[in-house]
Order: sequence, then structure tokens, then C-alpha cells
Amino acid sequence: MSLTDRAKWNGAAGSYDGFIARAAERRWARFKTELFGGMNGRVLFVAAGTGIDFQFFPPGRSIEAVDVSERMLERAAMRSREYDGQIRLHQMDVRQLAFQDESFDQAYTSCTFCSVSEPVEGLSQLRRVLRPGGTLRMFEHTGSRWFPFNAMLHMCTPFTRRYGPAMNRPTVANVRKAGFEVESVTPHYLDVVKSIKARKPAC
Amino acid sequence: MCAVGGRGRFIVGDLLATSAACALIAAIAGLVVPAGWAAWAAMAAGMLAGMVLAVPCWLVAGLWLGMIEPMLQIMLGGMLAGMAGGMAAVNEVRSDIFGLMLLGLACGAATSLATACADWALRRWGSECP
Repeated sequence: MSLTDRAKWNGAAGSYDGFIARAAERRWARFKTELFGGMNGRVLFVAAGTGIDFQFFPPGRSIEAVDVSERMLERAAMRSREYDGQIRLHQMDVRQLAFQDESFDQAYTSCTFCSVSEPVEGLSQLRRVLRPGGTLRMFEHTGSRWFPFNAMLHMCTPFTRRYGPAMNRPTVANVRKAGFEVESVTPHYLDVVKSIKARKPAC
Repeated sequence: MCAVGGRGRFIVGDLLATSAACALIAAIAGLVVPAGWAAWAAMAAGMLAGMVLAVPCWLVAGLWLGMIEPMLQIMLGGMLAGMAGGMAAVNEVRSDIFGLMLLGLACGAATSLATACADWALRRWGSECP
């Protein structure tokens, strides 16, 4: 487990909802509700954080949710109890998932791979635990294909990475590198905030 | 396919926050850049001041608008407003604080509106469906 990531997010847990998440969640609620609405079968949710995304999950699902930070999970525990379904929380690094191969139908992420130190390694783990043909659904902020937005994101990253996420990750390319087939990429803001739909090849 | 709908209040919020931040940035840049500097140096110093001043403005705006969208707009607008403020300083209009703020306001509003248009265009035509 990465102590750097874990320590960073443990430190951020107290202020995360008020400082980063609440305003962003209001802005992105519609897109997340739409994306998470497709949850079905055995679902893995990566980087549960404080559980602020649980409100967008459709009711009645059975979900395994992981996060690297125990402080984040303490806060998520309260929200998981309010969910109309089952959310089981695990302290786990996405790069070292303790689940069996091909044991999930779907994996979901929400602003996760901006913060994972070795994103392709983490995505490869998701590929391992998904069954053949299983789906990966991601709501992420990434680098942009467009100048000058990408230049801004590169400039901000040395600052933001100290306290939270990197802003310039090539996440769509990383998804492909990890062996997924990208089905669609829907930009929600300037090709920076986007929904990514991908699939593990069937064979 | 784009549907402005629920985005409207955030577009207005971004516009107001960016314009206000840029008005402040242009005024400060106009006051701190020395009048005797060459135009290129004044622009560069103003841009740098704009980048630095954009950070606290962004952090405040981010609390009620979300982090990413205001960051991009305030950073871009702040650099533009800083450059404009720096140029105004070498052209000896530094005493006109309201003029500087108006200049910054225009830079911020233009950046925010241009960003909203670019966002609309990207959502309309920028989806990847391989």
C-alpha cells in the first residue's frame, strides 16, 4: 500500500467534503446519477472516499467499495448505512486488490485515477478482477486534448498534487494501456471532466 | 448533445466569479508593475502576478462552484487580466483604479464566455465513440 497516498488522503479526510467535494457534487450530480444508474450484478466501486457518491447509486444494489484511506472510510461508513442496499467497505489500494480474478461484473470509479500513483497498474488490477466482457465505468477529471486548457492543467498539477489529485492525467490512454476496450468518452467540461465507458475484452 | 439547462446557474456563477477575480487581479497588477518598464516586461510581470493572484481567488470561488471549472477560468482570465493590467501600468493609467478594474472585468467576462462556448462546442462535437 502506498503510504504517501494513504497519508495524503487521511490528512484530507476532515476537510474533503466541505472544501472539495460538496460544490463539485452539486455540479456533477446529473452526470454521476446517469453513469451510476447502470450498476448491475457484482459491482466494485473504487475510491469510496467519504462516501459522498453513494447518494447517486441506484437503490437495492450490492456493492464492494474500497479506499486507501481509513479516515475516509470512517466517514463513508455512516453514508453506507444510509444507502438503500448493501455497501461493504474495504481498506484497500487499487493497485493491490485482494479480490479474486474475474469476480466482478462491473467496476466504477469516481475521480479516482487522478490520484492513484501508478494509474496503469491500478487499472490493470481492475481488469484482473473483472470477468471477461465486464464493464468499467469512470467519472474522471483528466488532462484535456485542447490547448490552452491542457497547459493550465499542467501548470496547476505541481501545486494540486501536493494536497490532492494530479490534474493532467491521460486517463483514457491509460485505460487502453491497461487492456480495456474504450466504448465511449463523453466530455462534461472542456474534455477535462468526462465519463469513460470501457469493457474488458471477452477473450 | 448539449443541453444548457441545469448548467445555466453554474455558467452564471463562473462568469461572476471569474469577472470579479479578474477585476481584482488587473487592479493589483496595474498598481504593482513599475511604470517605466518595457511593454513586454510589464506584460510578463502582469501575467505572472495574475497567475499567483488567481490561486487564492480560485480557492474561494471553488468552495461554492466546484474546483475544476473555476480554476481553469480564473487562471486563464487572471493571466489575461494581469497582462492587461501590466500594460495599463506602463501606459500611465495606474491611477485610474476603476478603469483597471473595468479592464479586468472585461477580461474575466470574455474568458468565461469563451470557455462556456468552447465547452458547448466540445460537448456538441467532441465525444469519442471509437
